[in-house]
Amino acid sequence: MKILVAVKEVAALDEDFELRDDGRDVDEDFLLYDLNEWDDFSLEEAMRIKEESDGEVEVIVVSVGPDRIEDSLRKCLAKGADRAIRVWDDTMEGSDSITIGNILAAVAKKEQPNMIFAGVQSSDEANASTGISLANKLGWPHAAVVAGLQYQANDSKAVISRELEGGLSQEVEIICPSVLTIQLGINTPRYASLRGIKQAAKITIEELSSSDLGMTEQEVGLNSAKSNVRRMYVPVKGMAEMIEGTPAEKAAKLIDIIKNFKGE
Amino acid sequence: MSPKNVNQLVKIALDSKDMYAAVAVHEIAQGKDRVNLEKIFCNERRKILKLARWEHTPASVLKVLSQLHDEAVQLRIDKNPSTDGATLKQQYLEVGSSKLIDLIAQHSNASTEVLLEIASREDDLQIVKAVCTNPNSDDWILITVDQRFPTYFDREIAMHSNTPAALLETIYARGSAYIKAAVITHASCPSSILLKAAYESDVTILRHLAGNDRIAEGVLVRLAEHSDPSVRRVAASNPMLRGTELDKLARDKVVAVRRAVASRSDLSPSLLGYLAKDSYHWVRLWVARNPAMPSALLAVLAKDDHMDVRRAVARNPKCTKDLLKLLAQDDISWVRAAVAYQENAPVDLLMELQHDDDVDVLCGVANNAHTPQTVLQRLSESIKDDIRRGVILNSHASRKTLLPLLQDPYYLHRLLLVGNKALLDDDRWTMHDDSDQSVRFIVFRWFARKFMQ
Repeated sequence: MKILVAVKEVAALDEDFELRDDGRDVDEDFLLYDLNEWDDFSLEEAMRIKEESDGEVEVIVVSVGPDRIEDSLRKCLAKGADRAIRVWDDTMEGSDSITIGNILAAVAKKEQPNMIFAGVQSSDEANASTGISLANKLGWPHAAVVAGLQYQANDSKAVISRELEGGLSQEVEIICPSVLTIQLGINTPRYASLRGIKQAAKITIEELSSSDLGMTEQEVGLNSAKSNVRRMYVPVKGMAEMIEGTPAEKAAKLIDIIKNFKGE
Repeated sequence: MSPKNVNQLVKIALDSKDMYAAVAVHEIAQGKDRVNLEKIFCNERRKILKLARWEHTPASVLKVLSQLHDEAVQLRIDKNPSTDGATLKQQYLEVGSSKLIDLIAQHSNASTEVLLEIASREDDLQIVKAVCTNPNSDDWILITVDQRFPTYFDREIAMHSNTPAALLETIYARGSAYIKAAVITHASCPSSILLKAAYESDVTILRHLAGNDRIAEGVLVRLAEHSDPSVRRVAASNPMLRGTELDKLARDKVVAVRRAVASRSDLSPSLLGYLAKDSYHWVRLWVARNPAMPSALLAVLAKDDHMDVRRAVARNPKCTKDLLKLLAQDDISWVRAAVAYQENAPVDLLMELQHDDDVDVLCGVANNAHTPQTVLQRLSESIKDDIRRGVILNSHASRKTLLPLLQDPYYLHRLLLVGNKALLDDDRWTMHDDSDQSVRFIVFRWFARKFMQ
C-alpha cells in the first residue's frame, strides 16, 4: 500500500520586504522558506495510517520546485516518510496551481498510490486548488477540508468529517483511492527526532523532470499557465488607529470606543 | 571532546562553515580568523538580511553588517535590540533617512549623547516623541525637548522616569486631568503637587492620588471614603491605609474594593477571617493565597465550592501537608496541579501524583524540586512536550536524568539544556552540530562566553 503526500515549501514574508524590480513578486532575499503548515498535518495523517497498519505501508512525499525545497523534503523524511520525490526542471518555472496539480497527477500515475493527501491550501498562495486539480486530472474522488479521517491501510472506503460554515461538521463516506485535502488540527504533528534527521540526511531524494513524467514543454510552466500575476502591491492601510496618551487616558479612550461600538 | 580554548573553538567554527557558529564566536576571534568568519556570514545578501533582523545576532556582528551601507540591512540593524550604542551612533552620523533616525531614537541602546543630538536637531515630531519615551533620555534632554516644543510632549515627559521635579510642576500646572494624573504617579513628583492635587475634584486625578504612599493621612482617609468606587479601590491598595478605614473598605458594597483589600499582604488575622467568608470567590481566592492566613481558615477554604479558591490554598506556601494531601485528591486537575507544583509537597505525595493522567499535574511533578530522580527519569520519556520541559526546567534534575533529553526532538528543549549547570561541557558540546541553527548558535555562544570570562 502506498500513500502519496503532496507537500510544498512555502515562503513567509520578512517584516520589511521589498518587491522585485518587475513588481510581480517579492524580492527573494526577503522571503523565509519552510514546509507548508497544512502539509505537516497531511504527513502526520499518513504516518498514523502507516504506524497503525499491520501490513507494509509506504509513505512517499512529493513536491514540485527547485533545489532549495530539498530542505522541506528532508524534514518529511526525518519525520518518517519512506521516500521523497522532487519534480523540477527549468521549463516548470511559472507553473500555476492547476499545472502543479497536473504534474502531481503524472507522478501519481507513475507511483500508483492507494491514497493521496495534500494540505487544504498553501500559506503563501492560498489557492486551495492543487489537491483538487490533481484529483480532477486523475478522475479520482476527492474531499476538501478534511478535519477527521477514519481509514485503515487498504480499506476500500474512508469516512471523513469535513468542516463547514457555522460550526457544522459533515460526515462523508468516500470511495478509495481518493484525494483528500487535510485541514489543520486533524492531528498533532510530531517533531523529527535527531536520529530521524541524521538518517534523512543520508537518503537520496529522487528527482524527476517533465520528460521523465511524459509531459511536454507546452504542458508545464508559463506555457500552460491559465493565470498570471500582473502586479503585487501593498494596499492602502485601513482604519486602524494607535491609541495615544497616558495609561489613564488610553483606558478612557478605549472605554469610549467600546461604548460607541455597543451603541451606549 | 569539547574545545578547551578560544583557538580551538574558532577553528571548529571556521571549519564548519556554519553561519550560526561563525556568528556565535565572532566576538572572541582575532585578526585573520575574524575576517574569515565574516566571509562565512557576509557572502550573501539573503544571509546578511537574516542576521541583521535576528534578535540573537551579537553586537559585534551587527557592527560589521552596519558597514555594508545597504538601507534594508540598516533598517533591520536599527530595529535589532542587540545593536549597541556605538553602532547606533555611527548609523545616526551616516544616515539621513527620518525612518532610520526614528528607529535609533526608539532604541533601548541609544546613548544619551545621540538622543540629545536628536532632541536638539530634529523637527520631526514623531522622532522627538520617540526620544521622550526612550528610558535613556536624561533630565537635560527632556528639558531641551520641552523648551523646543512646549506642551507638545507633556504626556510623554510626565511619564518619563528621568523628568525632574521642576519640569513636572510646569507640566502639572498646564496639563489636562490625564497629564496631572501621570505627574502624580511619578516617583519625583514633589510634595507641593500632591498637596494641590488633594483639592482637585476630577476622579482620574483623585484615583491616582489615592495610590500614592506619600500623601497625608487625612487626604488618604478622605479618598478612602470617596463616593467613586474606583477611588476607594485604589485607596484600598495603598499600603499607608490601615486600621478602621481598611476595615470599612473590607465591608464595601463594591466587590472591586473588597478585592483590592483582599490582595494586600499585610492583613490582620481577623480581617483575613472576615474576607474568607466573602460572597465573591475572587475575594476568597486572594486571602487563600495569603501566607498569613491561619491554618484553621485555610482548612475551611480548602473545601470551598470554587476551584480557584481551593487552588489558591494549594499554592499558599503555608499550606499544611495534611491539606495538600486532601487537595491532591481534588476532582479538578487544576487544583491537583497546584499541589504538584507546591514546593512543600512531600515526596510521598509527589510519588502518588506521578500516576495522575492530567498533563498539568504531571508538569507540576516534573517541575517540583522534591520529585525523586527516578520519577523525573520516567517523566522525561513522556510524549508530552510540556512534561519533558518540566524535567528540563527542574533545578534539581541530575545529569543522569538530563542526558537522554539531549536527544529531545523539540529543538527548544535542547536549546534550554545548553546552559544547564548539571551537565558537563562535553555533554553540551554534543549539540554543537545540532540540526537546529538556534541550538548550534547557543552552544558555540555558550563556549565563547565561557572563554571570554
